[in-house]
Amino acid sequence: MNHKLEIRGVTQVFSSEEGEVKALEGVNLEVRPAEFLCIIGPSGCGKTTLLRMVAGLEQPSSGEIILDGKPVRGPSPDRGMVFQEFSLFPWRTVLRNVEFGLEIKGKVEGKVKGKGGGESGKKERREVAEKYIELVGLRGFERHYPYELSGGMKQRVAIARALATEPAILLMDEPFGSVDAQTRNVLQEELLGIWQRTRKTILFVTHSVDEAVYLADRVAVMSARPGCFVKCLEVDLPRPRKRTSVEANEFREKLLMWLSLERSKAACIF
Amino acid sequence: MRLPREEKGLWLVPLVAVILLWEFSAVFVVKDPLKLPRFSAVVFSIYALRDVLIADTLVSLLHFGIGVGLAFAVALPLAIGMGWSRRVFKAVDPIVELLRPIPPLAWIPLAMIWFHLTHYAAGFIIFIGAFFPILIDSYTGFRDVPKVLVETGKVLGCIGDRKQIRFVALPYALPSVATGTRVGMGVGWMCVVAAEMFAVSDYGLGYRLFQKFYFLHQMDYVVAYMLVLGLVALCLDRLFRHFVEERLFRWKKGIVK
Repeated sequence: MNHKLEIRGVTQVFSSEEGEVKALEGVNLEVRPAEFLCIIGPSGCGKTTLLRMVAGLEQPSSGEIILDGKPVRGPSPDRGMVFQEFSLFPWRTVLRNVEFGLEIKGKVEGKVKGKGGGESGKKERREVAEKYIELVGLRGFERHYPYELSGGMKQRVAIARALATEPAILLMDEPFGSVDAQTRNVLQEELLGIWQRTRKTILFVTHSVDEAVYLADRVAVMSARPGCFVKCLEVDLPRPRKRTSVEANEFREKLLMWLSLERSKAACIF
Repeated sequence: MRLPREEKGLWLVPLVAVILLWEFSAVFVVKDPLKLPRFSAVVFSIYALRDVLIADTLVSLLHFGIGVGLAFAVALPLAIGMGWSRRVFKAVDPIVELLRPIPPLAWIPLAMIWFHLTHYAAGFIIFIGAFFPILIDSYTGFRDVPKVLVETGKVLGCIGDRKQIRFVALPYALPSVATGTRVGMGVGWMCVVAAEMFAVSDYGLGYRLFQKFYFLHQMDYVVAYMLVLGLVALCLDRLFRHFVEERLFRWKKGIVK
């Protein structure tokens, strides 16, 4: 089978003043094209570290990460990322935030071709950005500055911005962790809509069992530090899913069991 | 900032009170124009001195422009280096902190020897005064760029220091640079009198005030020039705020105002 993303034997060791800390050990994972995969695990297990390595923001101590057959060497717009913290550029309006990646891309390409992007480039950029703003349901807010937006709206802009450069994969690091529960449910629904419309591969880190069960095609459970995947569960619930259905509850229980197993192992270490 | 209707003109009340108090105490309490010239006399002096006053103001603004312009041109690149790179900061910070406490006045002898009695000597003193506030505020701005914004930039294709500074750090730090420049302009203007005290040219607000009026003990003229010094600075600050800060702080309105 053709994999979109392959993580092969990735180990990450941080050296600190107290010595070396193994954050991840021998992590293997394959993500299929157009799949929605959630990574879940006890806090501090290295979920975020793994995602950052896929983004190219950190280099693994050993092992490799392969996207579309090419090894990941550093950050690049072919992997869109949505951070947990609000990450909008506060000096840019919604529209200019979403345009950011395209603007940089235009600058790079403009240099190669010997032109500076030009008026037509600017117009195209605007059209693409408007398309994605529409996709995340923020039409009419193009000229607003981030300080005028609610937390949920900020994350929507961040999603639009990550999608605007048309990345091969979308990486999301607990993107809805800092919004309230109700907004969170709405955002989850909308993300599923976006995913179904764009057919993007999504790698989604969360600590919420509910979120994983509602969103994912598959859930990968991570062990306590040093992190590695102990179980990959196929979420065979039909879509659209009902959060309160019996099957969802059963799945949740299964997932919780795996997680508590990992937590108790962590408790033994400390 | 827009004031409610009834607060417009509020500033006039204490101003008029202070002027009345000044006039009253000059006439009825101090009764000595040398110690305290009357407000009305000072206003009349400003009118009487109008020709020379304009020339003096222009020359002072020239000195000010040399000093602040140079300070900005040197401080900004250094601030980018110090704020963006820990290594540059560690290497340069001790020198900066050693030079910073030296008062601009202490540089006057060196300025005289290096630049003789030229506009540049005065500009240099103002440069010293304006440089450090611009530097410190600016590098703080560059240093405090949130990591998540830099990483967002990287993921969106901003690879390399130059791009990250241009597209992420500089826009983030601009309000700090503006604040530093505003403070630096204030300090620089305060150095104008000292810089011109030593007859670097035959014009200049500080030169006239110190070398001519004080020398002749024409205190109404001295106070008139003091008021002009204050007024010019007020105008400079208002202009700066209107044209620069209003624009730069628009995205910060939610935080600041």
